[in-house]
Amino acid sequence: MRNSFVKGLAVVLVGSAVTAGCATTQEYAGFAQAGSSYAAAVDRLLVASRDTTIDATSNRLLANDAVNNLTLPQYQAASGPDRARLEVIEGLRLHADLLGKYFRTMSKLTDSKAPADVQASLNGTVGGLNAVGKQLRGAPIFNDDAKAAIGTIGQLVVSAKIRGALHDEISAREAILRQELVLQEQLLKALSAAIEQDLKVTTQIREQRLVITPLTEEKPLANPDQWVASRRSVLLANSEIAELQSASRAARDMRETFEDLVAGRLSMARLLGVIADLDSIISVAEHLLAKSK
Amino acid sequence: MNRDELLAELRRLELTLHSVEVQQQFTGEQDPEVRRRFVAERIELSRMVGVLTHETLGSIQEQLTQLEPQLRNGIEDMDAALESVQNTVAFLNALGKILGLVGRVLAIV
Repeated sequence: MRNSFVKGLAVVLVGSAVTAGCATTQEYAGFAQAGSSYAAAVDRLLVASRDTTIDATSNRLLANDAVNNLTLPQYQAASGPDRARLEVIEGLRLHADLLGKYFRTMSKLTDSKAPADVQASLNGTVGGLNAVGKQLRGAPIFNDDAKAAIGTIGQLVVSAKIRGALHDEISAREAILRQELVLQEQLLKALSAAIEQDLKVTTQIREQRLVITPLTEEKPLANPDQWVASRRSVLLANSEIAELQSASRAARDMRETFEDLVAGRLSMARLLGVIADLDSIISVAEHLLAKSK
Repeated sequence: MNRDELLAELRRLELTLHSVEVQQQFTGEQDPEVRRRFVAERIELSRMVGVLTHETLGSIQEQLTQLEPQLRNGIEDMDAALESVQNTVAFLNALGKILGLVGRVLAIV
């Protein structure tokens, strides 16, 4: 999953590098590819946050039960916010899906083979006209140079039509996209903070339950190898928390990428920055999902 | 103190109440009433953290949902633009085929 996001964006970036100088459609393509990869990465993070929320509450329940036997109302009070958050997360996933569809549609437009197809079609049309000309007056209507020029002009006209459609779309939806990306920035910040809290609480409780209590009890450890693995897992959880902080930059970078696109100064460096941050999100989400299995 | 600051403070407090030292202290507490009250308060604190987190995420989700009709319009417009481009290609393909046919007919005649 992670590789496919980055590979897709890398293909667009290579295309941008090759065609640098006439990169308007390539800039839209880079933005669209980054946007659809961003939506997919956010979805993975939402799925991971679903798991961390449930696991953190389960650990809180165990920690509380270790102090005093819990009652059914107490269990329900602890589970209530979980259910509410799961509902919100599902809503956010549906929105991420729509956002991904928006950017994939933009990619379909930027990646359209229509300009090349038009050139081929015009060559066919000119070939047809030449065949008619040969029959009517014994010579083709267009020579080879004219034939090539017609194909190229057709290709340019269709390319311009696509660029125009992309420009119109960004102009028409500029305010909405800006608002969307500002909200995405708030979302990733809030989501990262929630996941961070869940991970920290879970780590503390697991350290107590799986590492300290078995070690400090009078009786010897029942399974020393399991204890070693548990301790490693608990201590390494801190690295995920650190990664999460860098992941939260992704939305800000996406917003800045959009502003650069609108201003006509979208650079390779900016897109590479987005790739690095998307990589962080996917990396954190995959670590969290792997741990919860 | 605004809502974000309150949430940050409650989260910090929750981490303190779930620290190893506090957990060990109350696990070893002899008085069941003290243990019961501590657990009740800790559950309530976690519930408040959960509610505030839910409200923050819910508010963002609500605002994002309001943008969805516009995103759908964008998808429709881009689909229409793509279809228009593809129609141009299809038209030129058809024209080329017709002219080719005309040429062949003229060659026979």
